Amino acid sequence: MGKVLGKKRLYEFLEKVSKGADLIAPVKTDTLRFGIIKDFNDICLEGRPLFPLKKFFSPAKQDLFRLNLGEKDEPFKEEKIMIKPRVIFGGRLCDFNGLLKLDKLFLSEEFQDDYYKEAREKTLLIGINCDPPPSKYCFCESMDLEKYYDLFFHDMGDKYYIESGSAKGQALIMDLEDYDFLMPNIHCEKKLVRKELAQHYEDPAWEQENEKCLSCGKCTSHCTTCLCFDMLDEMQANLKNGKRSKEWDSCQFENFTLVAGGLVFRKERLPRFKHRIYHKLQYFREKFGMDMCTGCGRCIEACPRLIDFTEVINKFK
Amino acid sequence: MLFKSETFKIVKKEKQTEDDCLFRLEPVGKKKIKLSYEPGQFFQVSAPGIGEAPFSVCSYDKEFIEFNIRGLGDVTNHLLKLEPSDKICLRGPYGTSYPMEQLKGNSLVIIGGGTGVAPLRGVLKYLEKHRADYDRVHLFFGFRDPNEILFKKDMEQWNRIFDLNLTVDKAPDSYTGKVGLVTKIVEESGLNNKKKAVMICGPPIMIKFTILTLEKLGFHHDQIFVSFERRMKCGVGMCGHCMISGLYVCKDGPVFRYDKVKGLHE
Amino acid sequence: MKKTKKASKAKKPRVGIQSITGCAGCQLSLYFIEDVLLELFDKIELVAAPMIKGKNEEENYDILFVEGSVSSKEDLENLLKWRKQAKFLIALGACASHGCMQSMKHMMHEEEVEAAVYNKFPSDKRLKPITAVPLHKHVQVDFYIPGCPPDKEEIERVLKWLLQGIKPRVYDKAVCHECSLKENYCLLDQGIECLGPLMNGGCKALCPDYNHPCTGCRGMLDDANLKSGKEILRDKGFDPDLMIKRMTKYNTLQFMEFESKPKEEKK
Repeated sequence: MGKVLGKKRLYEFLEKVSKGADLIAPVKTDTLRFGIIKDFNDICLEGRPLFPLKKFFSPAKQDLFRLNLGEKDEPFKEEKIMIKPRVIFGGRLCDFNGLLKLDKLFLSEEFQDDYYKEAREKTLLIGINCDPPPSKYCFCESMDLEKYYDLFFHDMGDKYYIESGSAKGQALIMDLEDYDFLMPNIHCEKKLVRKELAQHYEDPAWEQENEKCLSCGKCTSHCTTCLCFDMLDEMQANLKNGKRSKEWDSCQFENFTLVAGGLVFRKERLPRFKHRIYHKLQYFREKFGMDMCTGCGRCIEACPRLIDFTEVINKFK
Repeated sequence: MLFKSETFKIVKKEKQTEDDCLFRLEPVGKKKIKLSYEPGQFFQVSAPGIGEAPFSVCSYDKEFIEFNIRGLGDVTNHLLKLEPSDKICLRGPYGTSYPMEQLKGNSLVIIGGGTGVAPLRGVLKYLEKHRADYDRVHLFFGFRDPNEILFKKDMEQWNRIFDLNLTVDKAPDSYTGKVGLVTKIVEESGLNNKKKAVMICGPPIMIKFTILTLEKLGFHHDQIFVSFERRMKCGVGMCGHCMISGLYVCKDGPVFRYDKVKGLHE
Repeated sequence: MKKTKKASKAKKPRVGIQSITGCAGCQLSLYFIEDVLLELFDKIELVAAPMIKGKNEEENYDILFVEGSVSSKEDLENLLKWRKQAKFLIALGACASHGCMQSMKHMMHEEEVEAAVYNKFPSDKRLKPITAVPLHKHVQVDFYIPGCPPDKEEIERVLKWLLQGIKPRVYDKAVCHECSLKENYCLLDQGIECLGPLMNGGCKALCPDYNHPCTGCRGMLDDANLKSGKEILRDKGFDPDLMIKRMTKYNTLQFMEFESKPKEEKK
């Protein structure tokens, strides 16, 4: 059993839960994007931002160290991480599940990414149910998503039905009126037929779809869970001070696997395409027991050629 | 912090070939860090303002680390310009090591090609300290030509305590040593696979043909350890650059037992 | 005091900026690095820059930027001379890197173009034009900073890398990469014939960011999938002739090379 909140009281509720924090929600500018809300009226829950939430947990470009070549003993000074508490409102189940997957990479037992860790700890997740799915490319129903959120809203016309998924969330809706309702599951038109990918590495279906690939990297930049990165040093004009930063990269680019001496291990487009999908659906599963894909369909929607890996896999005999 | 480097001081720099130098580094600062690394592991070495590059350790010691650095890119070319008493920043150790403990009592076959001999030097430095724990140690090292031979000083010592087989791909007529590919001297050795473990490090093509030769001699894939080269950026299994199939070379490797990695898709 | 100043000056790399046929906008981009220009110029000796200097030397360049394409005999003579004088020669801008608009002539007839442009003066041959080509068709080029105009921050970066003594790094990602990071609404989806997926970025997707389709001033990607690119534009119903014109606007020679290449895909 959950709670109920009249739509008229939404802003009041958001104001309360986001006190002292940044409220992040979908905003309609030229495109629909997740942004920091300054005016509640900017919140737009129609459709879903094409760009996922990962930017709030590991920015596209993040400075790691300040560099001072004059200090021979300690040229690197850590860049302070300053993250304000925030509340994300209007994320979808796929968005939040993406974080569960990224946790495996960025919060492993041995190594934790400090920025990511702090961002995760300081973020409250309030989701909204997809009824109907926001895009025709969605196929999350095939991906066994977890009910992962602090709070989860379901639009009931003039009110929201709310369920909590954590103690933190529960505390925020204590005062609201109880309500008896069964949260409907998400139903997607698009399906991914789950198959043992290892046996299909040489299937010709890969090649047909790959011929369309432009290696532009939009599939990875829009992916909920792609966060491969490069590390770069850059000096200021005085050539004494500079910085070391981390910047998103993509396995779809030709030189992603370049090593010293000029050898590139995935030179051809086809192994790059396969690597992306195998990483999502096989390699990650072997390591962590879950897929690295949430079925959000953004990689398909963002692709200039609408390359659809689910169709490749569904075609396998 | 994750990518934080420690400062070391260069205490020795030894020219190996036209393009390679062996650097010995010691930690600086009043509080001396106890060094702990195993043969096969690597460090990310910084050229501040230019970038980082991964290097396998080629020593085994609690007081210092040694790296063989070959000028192949901007980072390495910068590092080669450094001299003793200069500072150098690095982080690590990262990755897997050769399972030295596990292999006790066995004979070892150690095969290296070119700069691939550098990580194996770490193994040999370990063996110098633990010689009695192992049966015979067969070394097969191949270099492009006599000028490319690394660790000439060590070779004399290794020749005494191990079975050293050194070859060069090509050489002037005046050269008195062996000439021919490393696979050839491995094959000629006629070694069998009884109670042995093999360690291979070198260019991909050399690894491939050496394994074919070892198969002919009757070695099984689970007796062979290979070390892979990739351009690690993070070193901690996050950045994705070094992935081969589902394996992160930086975290699951760089040392792999061959039966676990054969036939992987790039 | 004066002596030490001179001694340190002697170590500074000698840098030159020279032009052949072009609009000189590339050179201007360099001077637009206002914030750090003086700091950077302090680390070099600017020995030749005819746009801003009266006295220019023509010898021993450590780094020489050349803008413009080789479009006349005089251009060629100059370029060959400069190449001999320069240790590191950088093609600055679209003309020098890819030939830019003047190289569109490669897909037309010389007389046709001359008639269209000089029809009032059919006998005026003073210009002695040759069909324009980028620098590398005649001399070895050590680095390219493409773009029309080139990105001033990239010029700054390249200069800094060279001063650090390292090889400048090429930007080799598609325009779409930077464009998608800005979360732009894809122009192709809005029915606008953007060439982003085929073209080299590094421009921070400046044009698409302002809803102007990319026309590829930074050249085509080495890795461009031209066949697929054409299919998108065809599927979206764009005029094929217009598309070819767009694609060749800056990169006629590169386009022709791609077209004559045996099928790069597959394998």
